[in-house]
Amino acid sequence: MSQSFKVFAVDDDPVVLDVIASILDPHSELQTFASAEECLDKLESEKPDLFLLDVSLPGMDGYSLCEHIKADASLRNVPVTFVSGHDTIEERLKGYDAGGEDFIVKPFAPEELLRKLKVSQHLVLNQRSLAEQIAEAEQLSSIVMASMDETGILLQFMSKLIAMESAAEIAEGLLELMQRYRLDGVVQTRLGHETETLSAAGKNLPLEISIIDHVRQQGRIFEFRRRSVHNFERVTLMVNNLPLDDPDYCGRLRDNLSVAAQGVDSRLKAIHAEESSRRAQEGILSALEGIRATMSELRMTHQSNSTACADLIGELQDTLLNSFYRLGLTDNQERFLQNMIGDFMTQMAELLNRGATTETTLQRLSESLAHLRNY
Amino acid sequence: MCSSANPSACSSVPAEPLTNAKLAIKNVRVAEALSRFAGDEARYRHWLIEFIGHGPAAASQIRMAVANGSHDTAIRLAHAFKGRTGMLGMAELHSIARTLEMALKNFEPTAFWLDELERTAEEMSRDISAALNESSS
Repeated sequence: MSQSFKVFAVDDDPVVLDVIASILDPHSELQTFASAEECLDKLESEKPDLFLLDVSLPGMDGYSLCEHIKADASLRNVPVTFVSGHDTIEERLKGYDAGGEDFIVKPFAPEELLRKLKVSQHLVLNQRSLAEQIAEAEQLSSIVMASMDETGILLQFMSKLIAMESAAEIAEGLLELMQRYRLDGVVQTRLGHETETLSAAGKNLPLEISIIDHVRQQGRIFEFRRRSVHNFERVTLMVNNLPLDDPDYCGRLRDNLSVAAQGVDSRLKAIHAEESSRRAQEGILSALEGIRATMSELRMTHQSNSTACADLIGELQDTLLNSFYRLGLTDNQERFLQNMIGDFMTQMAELLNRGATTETTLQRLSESLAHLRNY
Repeated sequence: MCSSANPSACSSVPAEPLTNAKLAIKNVRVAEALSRFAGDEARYRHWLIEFIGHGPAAASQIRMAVANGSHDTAIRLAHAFKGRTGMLGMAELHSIARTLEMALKNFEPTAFWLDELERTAEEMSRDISAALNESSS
């Protein structure tokens, strides 16, 4: 058994204390007292793991001493075994009412006392183990709660991140996240050709830019003294005041900041892709508008040309018919000329009709382009 | 009786050197008592010697307390005597002391048990002396 198991025995008979010492000395650290008062004095400076109390004591009796012990919060869980010559149920009940855990009758066999000691040791060890487990559970609980709180901050940031539309907004959000973790630092975002460096001290401060430019070449996660740097393609996050005195918190911060920075990098990539797509779309729409306008001009020109052609043909026909009288042509000559002109007019009319089809096609193309533009 | 828990601190009789001879005392459960001292004969012997000197006197003190009307003191002394003799293996004396304590608590006549206690304590004292002398010779 462990020597660290401390027993306080109180009895006014030195023979009883000597017997207890003979039996318990090899198994425990025993201190004996001839009175309750002596024991109480000692309790001011030292606490045992087990009390062995005689009932009949000069001055304060064993029951009163037990009540005193059980009223003390620091001693309440220390087991009390009465060692008494009073072997009656009334006396045992008194001991129980006083808060005692066990009772042993004098004269006792050594094995009985040793057995009681072992039971008490087991009880105390269980209590200690339980107390340690409670302490561990409480510690674990506080860590889990803190971790949940930290994770909650991260989740809140990530949910906001999805809706963020610009690098500046994201940099401010990331800086706020760090502040909520009680951290001071610098955030740099790189979107296309635009680089923005932000800290609580301001935007694009030359010294901070130069430091970030240096540390962003140092790998994904880089630490020096109280600083921690998280590097991604489009974002660099530098913490200036890592709480090195709390390694567990430090570890959780590294994980959370790494996740946040990775999320930011992805969001910036998405924003970059969205902007490229928007620019391409604007280019296409602009080209479509140009084509539509050109088509419209072509149609107008074609209409104008067709009208001019029809007018010229009509004019030519009238001129030729009028000239027949002046030329003095025979009927056969007139008929020949009329037929020739008629054939020519018919061919011209067909050509003009084809022009109308072209105009319809142009009209349809123009409408299609307008439709595309409205998408 | 000696009030120190340390036997060597109050022994008025020098402890005799122990022999290999088995200690035997009339009306005393030596083996049982010795086991309470973890087989330490010197320790047990110390308290037996102490009893020779103070045991009969302790019995007389109970009579005096009764005679003086100190009823509670008489009960306390009888109880202590009972406890001491029980631990030392003196079964007969322990039994008488217990009966006397009960008689005192119940306000019953005690003269007979006081006589018995004193007489048996004297006898026990003599028997212990004889046994210790015999074992050490």
